[in-house]
Amino acid sequence: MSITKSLIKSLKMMGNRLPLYLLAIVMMTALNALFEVAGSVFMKIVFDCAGKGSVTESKTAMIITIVAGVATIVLASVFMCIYNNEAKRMTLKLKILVFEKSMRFPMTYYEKHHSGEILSKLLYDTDMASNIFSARLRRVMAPIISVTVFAIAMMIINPFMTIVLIVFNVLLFLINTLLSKPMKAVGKRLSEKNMLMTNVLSNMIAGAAISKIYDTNHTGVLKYEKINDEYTAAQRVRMRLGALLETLNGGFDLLCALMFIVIGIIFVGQGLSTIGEVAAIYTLYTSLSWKFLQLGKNFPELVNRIAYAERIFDFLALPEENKEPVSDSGIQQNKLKSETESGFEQETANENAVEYRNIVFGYQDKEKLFNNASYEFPANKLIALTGPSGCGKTTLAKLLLGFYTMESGDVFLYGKSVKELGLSKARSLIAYVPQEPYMYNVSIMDNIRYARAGASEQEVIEAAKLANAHEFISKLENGYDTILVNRGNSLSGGERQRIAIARAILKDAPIILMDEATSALDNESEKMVADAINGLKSKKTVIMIAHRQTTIRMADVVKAIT
Amino acid sequence: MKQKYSVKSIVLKYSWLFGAAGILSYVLSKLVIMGSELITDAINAIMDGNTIDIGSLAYRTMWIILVSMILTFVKTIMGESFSIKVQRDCKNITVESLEKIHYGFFEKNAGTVINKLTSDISDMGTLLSEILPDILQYTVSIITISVALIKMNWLIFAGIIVTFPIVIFSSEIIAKRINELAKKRRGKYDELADIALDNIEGIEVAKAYGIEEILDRRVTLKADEILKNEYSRNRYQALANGLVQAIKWVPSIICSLIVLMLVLKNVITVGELMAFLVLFGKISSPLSELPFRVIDAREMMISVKRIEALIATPKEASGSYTGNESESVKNLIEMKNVSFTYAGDDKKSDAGRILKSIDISIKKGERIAIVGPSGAGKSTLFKLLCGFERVSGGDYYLCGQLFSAWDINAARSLISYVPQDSFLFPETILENVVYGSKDMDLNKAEKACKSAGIYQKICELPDKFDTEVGERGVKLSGGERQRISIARALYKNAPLILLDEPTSSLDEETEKIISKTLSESDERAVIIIAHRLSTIKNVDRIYCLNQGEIVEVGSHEELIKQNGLYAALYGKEGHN
Repeated sequence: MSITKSLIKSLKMMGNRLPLYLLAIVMMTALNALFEVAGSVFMKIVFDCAGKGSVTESKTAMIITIVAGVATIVLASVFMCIYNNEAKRMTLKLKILVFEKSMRFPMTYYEKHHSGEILSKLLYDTDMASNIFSARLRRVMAPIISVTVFAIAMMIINPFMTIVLIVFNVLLFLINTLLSKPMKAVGKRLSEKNMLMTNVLSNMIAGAAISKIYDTNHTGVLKYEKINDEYTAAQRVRMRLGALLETLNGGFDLLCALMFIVIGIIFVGQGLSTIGEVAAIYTLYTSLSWKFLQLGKNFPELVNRIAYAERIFDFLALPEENKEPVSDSGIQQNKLKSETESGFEQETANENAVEYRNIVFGYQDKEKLFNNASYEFPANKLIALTGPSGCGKTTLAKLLLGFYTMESGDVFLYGKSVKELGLSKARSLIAYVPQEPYMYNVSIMDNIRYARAGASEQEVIEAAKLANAHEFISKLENGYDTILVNRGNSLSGGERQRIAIARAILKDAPIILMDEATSALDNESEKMVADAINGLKSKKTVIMIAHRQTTIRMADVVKAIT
Repeated sequence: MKQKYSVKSIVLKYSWLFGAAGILSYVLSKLVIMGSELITDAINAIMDGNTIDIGSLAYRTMWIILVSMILTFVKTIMGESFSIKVQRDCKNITVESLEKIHYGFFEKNAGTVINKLTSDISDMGTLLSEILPDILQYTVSIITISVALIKMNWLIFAGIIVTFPIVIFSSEIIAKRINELAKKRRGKYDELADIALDNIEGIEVAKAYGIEEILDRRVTLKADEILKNEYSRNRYQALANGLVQAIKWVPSIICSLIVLMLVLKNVITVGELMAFLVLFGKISSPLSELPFRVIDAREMMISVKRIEALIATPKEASGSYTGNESESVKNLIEMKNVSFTYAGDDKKSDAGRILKSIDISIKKGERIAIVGPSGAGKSTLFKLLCGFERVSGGDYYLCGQLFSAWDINAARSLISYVPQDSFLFPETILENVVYGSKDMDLNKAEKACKSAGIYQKICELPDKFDTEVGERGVKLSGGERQRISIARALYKNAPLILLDEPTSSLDEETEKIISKTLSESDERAVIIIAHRLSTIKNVDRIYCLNQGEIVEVGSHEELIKQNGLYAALYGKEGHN
């Protein structure tokens, strides 16, 4: 993607706020420049007064200028506020987009990437990208706008002198651009050498013991000193270039200032200009030459940030998990279904809550866990899944939830294919209690209520009671309002499990899918959890990935996964 | 080694450059004043209705410009040369001192002083190359121009001296308030990031319960809160910004009005008014910048102080004996009644002693193992052998010479050391193997790697011996790193190898290599701190340490027969 295209794409993200944002940039910069113009006009009045030898006529003009100057500041501040508001709004908009996107990938994405890693990279990229809005774009635009304003003001005061000055400035600008390339090259060399030196130092520190024993010839120090000499040599090059640049800039500056005044004096002498005009242009000139040197200087930074914006665009364009019914295989399959499966569905609808049919699945480049396997789980029974660790019990659960894509085969819920139902609908039929249930950093009340938006407090408490969680929650200092920090670290494993069960109960889905904790719960908790599960029996289809004999004994159906 | 320096002595050594730059700055300011005087005269002449000689005015102006350009060039070169030279020398003495600092310092300060060293050095660079020259130039031009303005009329100077401090202080106060607000804001952004992380970490629940939208709302709610906060901050910031700008205008208005009044009263001329304008422009930015540069300088002096402290840190003791090739000594290592206590601990009391009455003697080519429960003093014994710590009592002889008499580097050239954590430098494998030797002998390195059983693996890597290890390079397993570390020890070809076996489980290959190193007969003596007693069955002698004392000495069979601590440790490992 070209830079301009990406920049336009970034700006388009601002939507209907874009005109206001751009207007704010132009206005705040122009007004700030006008403020400096007011300063120079003030000087003009002072000089004209001095030339005439009286103030009486100019008093009002002075006051008007000062008032006008203050007014430009006030207005500039207003636009600055608008600019900052819009920039921040965009920054947050970008963050929200990215954060929302970060929750919409297929499960495999999260297993491949560490959550902290995803986030820190995203945060860095968005911060860098949103820098376009909060600083970089303005910094590229500002010198252009300022130079324009100054040039116009100067032209109005005295066109001929202004043109002479601008020609000087263009020359100076060209010299600076010419020297900027070698300067940049030296800068790069310096930072490379600097990094090498830092490496030697950190090696000496981190590997102090090894260095002391092995480096008896001081090679580390010698290496450091050698790079230091190279660094110094590069610094010398930069010094010479810098001195040249400073001399030329300073000299030109002086040349312009003095030449200009000489010209001014000639003009005044010939009556073409007043001493006040000379003074006013002189003050403006200082600002103009400063901004002139800024032209184009900030452009590379903007380009750099646009590269980050492109990364964000790429991220936002990554494929999301498809939660809608799969319809790509088209009408034909639907037809097929209506012919062959409708009858089947009626017969078995209430018999089998879940059915895996001929599934083939394996993790990447490992042996297939399921090769053409089929399982049937009857409705409204407590089903225990058993088998040695690594046999795929948890994978089976995750396949049911549609976390992974199977190579072939299908999962049916009450006789309907998950593909046909769509992931959203399929998941709404299942309440899942993972092995180590995640507790969000919100109150216990909200942690449970996440299962069903809009559930009343009473309903939450009811669910907690059924899950044998109410009692311990009530005993907490803040009860249901206790905020769970650090994944609910302050609670025991059994307590977290029961909150998760309450969450599952509140969801009121026909199927409860529970991955029993492998780690030991204390006896009390274990009994509580078991009681809670027993309470659900025959009301719901409960599928348990069982590790404990007690749980297996409770079950109506035991399925061994091999 | 080179002569002893301190930062101060280095600065003094090159101070003539700095002084010269200062003098040139003064001359340059004087030239500006001269130029302004030319203008004054010319304008006065015009205002009086006289004609002026434009040619001579332009001629003199050009001369001033030419001279000042040359001087600017020379001044910049001198100022920069000063900073470059001081930087180079300071860096060199820092790294030279760092090398010689007592090992214990690294252990104690790993996370603090040392971590800051790199940033301290770069701060010192900024101080020398940017801040100090600025301060010099600002000070010189403020003083010279002030003098010129006082000469013109003291009231002008009074106007400047009264208004500027007010501007600086008030804008400082406003800036501080904004910073406080910014701090609060950063906290809120962290909260937002925490929510996002919470959402991603709980993704399994989110997907299973289909609550992505609900969780989105958490993000948007927090974002709204931040935005509201930002809006109020932006209002304040805009207000502050406007205020600062308006305040900054005050000196210029007041001073020009003063000057105007003086002109109207015929105290000064219109020409001088123009000169004032030029000089005021030259003095106003140094005046408002100088206090901030001084503050920066003060902050960076902290870094310089830290570097000075590092340079002043006590160095390792070192004698002058550098060994004698022809000399053949009976014992490579001999420790007689050695005890060790950390400095500062009570030396008299028995409890503070890490090691007590240690007697060890090791001949060339012997294989020795040191075993014992953790905390028995095994690692401390190694530290004494390496000279990282010095004995508190008793005598330690290396090749028949008291260790304290040895030149520390000569002594260490006799020792190879394989640490427990197998530290590798983030450089190429070859550089790691030949680390510290003056020349890179690839053949010798290959041989060492073959002996260490890592040659095959290295050849499989894309860049072979030039493969980078560490963060940016290939990831090696613990055992592979350990074997490279052993190769490094073999490459050094020192008469004594100290091998600190890792406590964590070893892969088969590494264990085999360690056993092989121990059983191969050559001139080298090997001392191993063993955690897996199975590797040391064939060593010549085992020293069994407990609570800082040698409790048992002998071969594997002898110690098993004794049925003491060693036998107990051996039994615990599941051997019979």
